[in-house]
Amino acid sequence: MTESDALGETAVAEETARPAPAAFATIPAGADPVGGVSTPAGADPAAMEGSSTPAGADPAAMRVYSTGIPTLDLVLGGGIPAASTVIVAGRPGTGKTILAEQFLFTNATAGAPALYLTTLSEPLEKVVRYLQQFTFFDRERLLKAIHYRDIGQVIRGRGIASLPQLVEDLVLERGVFFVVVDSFKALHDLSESAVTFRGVLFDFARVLASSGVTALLVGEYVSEEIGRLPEFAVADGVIELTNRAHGVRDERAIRVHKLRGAAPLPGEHSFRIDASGLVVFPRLIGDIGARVTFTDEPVPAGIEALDEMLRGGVRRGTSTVIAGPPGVGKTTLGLQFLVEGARRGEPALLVSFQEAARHTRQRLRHLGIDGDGLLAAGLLTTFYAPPLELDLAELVGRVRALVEAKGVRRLVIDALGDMQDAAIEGERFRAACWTLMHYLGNAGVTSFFLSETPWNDLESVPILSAITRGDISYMSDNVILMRYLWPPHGETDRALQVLKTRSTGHDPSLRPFRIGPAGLVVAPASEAVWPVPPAAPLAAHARSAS
Amino acid sequence: MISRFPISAATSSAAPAAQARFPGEAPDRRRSAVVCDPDVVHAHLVARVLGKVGFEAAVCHDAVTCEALVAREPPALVVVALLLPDSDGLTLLRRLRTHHRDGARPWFVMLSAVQAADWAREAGADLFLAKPVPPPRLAAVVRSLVATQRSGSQEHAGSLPAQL
Repeated sequence: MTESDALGETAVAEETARPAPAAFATIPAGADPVGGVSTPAGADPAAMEGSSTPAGADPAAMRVYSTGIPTLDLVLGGGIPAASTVIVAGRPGTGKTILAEQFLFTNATAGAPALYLTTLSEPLEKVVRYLQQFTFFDRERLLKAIHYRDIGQVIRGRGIASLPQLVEDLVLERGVFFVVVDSFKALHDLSESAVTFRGVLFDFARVLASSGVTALLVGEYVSEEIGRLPEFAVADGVIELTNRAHGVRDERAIRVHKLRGAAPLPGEHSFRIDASGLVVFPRLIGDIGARVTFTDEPVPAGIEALDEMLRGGVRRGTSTVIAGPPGVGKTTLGLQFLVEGARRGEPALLVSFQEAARHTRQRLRHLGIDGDGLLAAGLLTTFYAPPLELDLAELVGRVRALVEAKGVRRLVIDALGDMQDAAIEGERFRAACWTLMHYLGNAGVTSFFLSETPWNDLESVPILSAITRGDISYMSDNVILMRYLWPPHGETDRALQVLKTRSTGHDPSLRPFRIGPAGLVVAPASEAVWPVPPAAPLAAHARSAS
Repeated sequence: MISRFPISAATSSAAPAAQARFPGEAPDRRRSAVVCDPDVVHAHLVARVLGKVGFEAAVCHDAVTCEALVAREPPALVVVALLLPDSDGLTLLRRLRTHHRDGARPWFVMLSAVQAADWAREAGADLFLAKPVPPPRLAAVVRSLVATQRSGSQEHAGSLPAQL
């Protein structure tokens, strides 16, 4: 692909040649916004640490433009390939225009300006009014780098056949590098027949191709039109935005149907729209990051007998499901595990769907732990996600970003059931768990996944059926079960046991434990309850406890 | 380009006798104005509003035509948009100001949806209004603008806030 240089005498476009960028790395978007000749922005090597190149792609061959949204660039496999024509399709309100505008505000400069062509005769001032609420809006760029033209009026007057020449004139007038047509679909209405339109379309596409501009054609296409209308065959790329209702929730998704010259991530990826524009959460199924080097060593939870049962502790980089009924002590155990890490200088992260930060701080205070100190030092981070409108792709993305930002070594997810409830389809829950567990494993993060088991499941033996909630226990390396005992054993009514460790041995005995002022205290081996007591009237226990 | 608005009646054909607005002004004398906005509909709307407050407004849609109109017949009021096809409202204002350093200087008003009051002031606008401007507001603002007395032929900015 040759470098685009529209008129031969103007500045070289700000292009960045790059392989697929590292997940969530900030991609430099270009040179200064206002001003004449700018030197091409080179890829920042520091940003590329740990990046993975799509198999077979030659980084030098394909130049791309950032969309201004780093995670969307990830989905596109780098960005919008230079000199390509890409259709941005979607029903009204799906965010197409915002995406196109973000692209322009990221890339257009006085030396490499852009053309914004409206076929709907929407006044520029109206477009600008809504644009100003976004943080990417830059009035300098609007004034100096983006040229607005209403071609709807002209085409209505002269006829659709005038489109290619008109666009060519406008492109040459200013030496533009970028073109947005909004809406391209509306041109169908200005054409007397499909045959006429097709001819105009081919000429128009040739004008774009020969002038080397990078073009985004925005249109309110519905899904079934994609692949049916001729422009989709002609375009180099097709990006579709959707906004589906799931009950009371809206689910926005972006899908790259095709993108010549790039290796986009397949499937649908969820996104939101906020003041910064589009925020995309790539569905990183299968992208589990590069394996970092770390020592295969025990990671103690700071609970003596438990660490002993685990031969020192769970192994570094492993995932452990901790299952048990409500109130048995899972969250406390998880917190102790995190705090032990923080005490050893290993940054810890609590991802909670159950408790906001202040409740966690309260818990820590009751355990006699200086939570505020650890939080302030960055050794402990809490991330609270209300389970109501949870998007799993967003969650996985945020967790990864936090892990990378804070250098997290220990992580607790409280609780898996909320993730499963939030998943729109069961498949997504399993996929999200798999992705998270393997990503964390590769990153050397030791993780606990808390899983709430219902009361009545404790009446059945094997209890394993409750632990295999969502069939994820087979994915985790270790499983610890916490349960209530009836009748109570000595002074305590609860016990835990290690059900499974993947490669190291463990003490399988059932150990009573109590929750003391400083957290869990697990009985030593001499006090193990073995064999497993009958699961008889737990209902009686449940009644007495409520 | 000067356009004739396709839908409305002529923009400035209101009977002069009914339009007297300014103390001491003969009822049949109307001041001239130039409106420059690439949005054809908006430009003609502004011209209509100006017609109601005693102006006879010429409408144009790019900087070159605006300069030509102002040079041909210096108006009392010039209303420009910020985003113009061949230039921008700031450059236009700066150029218009230099032409009229001596003699009666027109009032300069900028209308834009872009928040550019600071830019407008620097370029020499007497007033900046954020689009969309409701016609009654525009009329009231223009009335109070021209009712302000000027001191000689010097700048009159400063007697009014630059942005309303």
